[in-house]
Amino acid sequence: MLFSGLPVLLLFASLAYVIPWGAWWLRWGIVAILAAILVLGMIVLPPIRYRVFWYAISSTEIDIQHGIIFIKRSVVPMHRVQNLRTERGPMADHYQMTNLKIRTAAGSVGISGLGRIEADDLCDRISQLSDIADDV
Amino acid sequence: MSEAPAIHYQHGVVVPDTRLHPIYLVIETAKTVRSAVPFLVVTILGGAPWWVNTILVVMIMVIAIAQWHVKKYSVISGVLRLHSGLVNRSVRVVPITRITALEAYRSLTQRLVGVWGLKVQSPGDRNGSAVVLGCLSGSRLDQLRTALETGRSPEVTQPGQPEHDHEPSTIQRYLAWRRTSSLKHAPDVIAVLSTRDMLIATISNNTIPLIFAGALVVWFRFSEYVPSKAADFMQENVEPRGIVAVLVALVVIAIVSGVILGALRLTRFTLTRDGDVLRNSRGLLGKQSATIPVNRIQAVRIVEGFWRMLIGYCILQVEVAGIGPANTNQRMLFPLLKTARAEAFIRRALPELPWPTEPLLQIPQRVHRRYLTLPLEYGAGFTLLFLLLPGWWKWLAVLPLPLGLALGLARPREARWQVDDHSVLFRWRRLTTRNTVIAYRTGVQSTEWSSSPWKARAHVAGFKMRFSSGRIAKIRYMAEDDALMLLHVIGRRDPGLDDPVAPVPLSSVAGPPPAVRAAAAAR
Repeated sequence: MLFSGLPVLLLFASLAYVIPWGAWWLRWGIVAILAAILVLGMIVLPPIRYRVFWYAISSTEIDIQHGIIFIKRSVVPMHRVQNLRTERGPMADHYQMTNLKIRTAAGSVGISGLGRIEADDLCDRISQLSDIADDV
Repeated sequence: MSEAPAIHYQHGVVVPDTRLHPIYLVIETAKTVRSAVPFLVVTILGGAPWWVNTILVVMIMVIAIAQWHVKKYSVISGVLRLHSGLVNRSVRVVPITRITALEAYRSLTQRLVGVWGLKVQSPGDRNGSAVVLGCLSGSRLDQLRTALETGRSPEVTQPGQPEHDHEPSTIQRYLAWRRTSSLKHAPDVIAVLSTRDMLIATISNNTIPLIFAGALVVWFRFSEYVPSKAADFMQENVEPRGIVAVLVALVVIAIVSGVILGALRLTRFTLTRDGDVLRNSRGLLGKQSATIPVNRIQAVRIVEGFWRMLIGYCILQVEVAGIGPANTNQRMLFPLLKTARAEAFIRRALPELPWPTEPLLQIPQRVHRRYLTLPLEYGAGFTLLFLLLPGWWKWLAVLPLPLGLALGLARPREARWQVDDHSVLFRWRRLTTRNTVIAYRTGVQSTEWSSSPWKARAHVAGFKMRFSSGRIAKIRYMAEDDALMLLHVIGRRDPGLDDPVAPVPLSSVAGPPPAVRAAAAAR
């Protein structure tokens, strides 16, 4: 939320500063509303996301549900997994967090915000379970 | 879906490091000249001394020769490697067991100089090919295709060598088809596109409306850039007769252009079943041929466009890994046939593809009204937009809502699905096109169930399945229980059976699997 919302907020703040359109209170009012939405989103959304997101691994499939209002549940058959990729930036690295991407020939599904050890375990487990003949 | 037969590839060097045909130099020089056009324009128009232009031309030639020199392909121990790049060296590595399709093609230039191009497709190359080899002589093409299709050197299947099997191998049939060998048993020609059908296909596709729209914009906004002879003809002979005459002339131009483009692309489209591969060949000036291993096909799609549906025609496409949404021509099974004949046609071309044995299931009546929501919302939005238009254009506002209503009523009536132990069938309408997908139940890459508070309250959910081509099949609204059942039965196979792709019998799937639900919240 912070990384996706902050550039928009900065853009609007720059426009409000540079372009003399409308009354000053209107320009900066829009920026203030955007900032409020961003802060509210940062406070409210993560706990909700944390509550509604889940994933499940069985010997035959990976089951992932995400979304708050529009909920999507993806099932990837284990034998369709082509490769796994873990990603972490400097901030995620600091907090021992990792994002996991499970790739199939048709695209990928992601599990974000895993602990580093849990992500490594998950990678090992999926690698072992998916190590069977592929027929794409 | 049957498991891809294992290719017992020959260890060691099957095709040694080989350069492309020297004619590649001409093509590469032309490419380099094209990219150097801005420099040449500056130097020639800028009055630079002759030696500057000479040095530029020599540099272009040297670059082309150097690129040809470093570009080499090989097939060694079951792996295709392509070395290329002058400054940025790159090595493309494709295990031949991962190759899903080979497409040999010939442009007009290649045809004139007698060389072929070869595109090698593998999973994950949705917008292109893993490897493209631009210039191969006929014998090199045969050698490489033999190596890629059989994993062995061509000596194994050279013409004249005594055959151990009674049935000729696929590659022997291919060599016969390329006329570099003779064979008693010719491939089975499934169908050849007639000239009449080719004309119907070109007239009923989207090309002509697009060309017409382009011609309208060009004539009314950028007529000063139209070639002088054409502009003079239009201004002297057509424009004095009024706006209707101009429109008719533009329609004629669009139809003629569309037919020419279609003829170049589709003339003599021929589909052949050649053992365990399907081949198609097409083209008027340039010739293209695609090879698709049957065991790589995961689904067949029947597409009925608006105009084609009115006259009872459809096109057939296949879903194959590596041939994605951008590869329209390569995924074509057949460009036009009567919809009533589609099932018989598919059963002949792909007798392995299972069809659901039970009748297709409809969407429950209580779900139908959900289909009205989205088209009516879009209809209302476009109505408001059109009301803002000036003059008579605002009368366009009467169209969106009735069209949205028609779409909202048609979609649930046409949506169908069925699933059994081996196959799954989905039928749904997008905007103007009706799609029917018949797929192996285990051939789906992933499935997706979607919901929202409003859908959940009405016990409705959406369902989508993805193929390795990157394309999807979906039913936007269906009964929630059905969607949940599909989520867990499509794409699964029984881990307990020896056959790794044996599907789980539907009777054994009573609901979501006893998965180890490690909720993220519990962490």
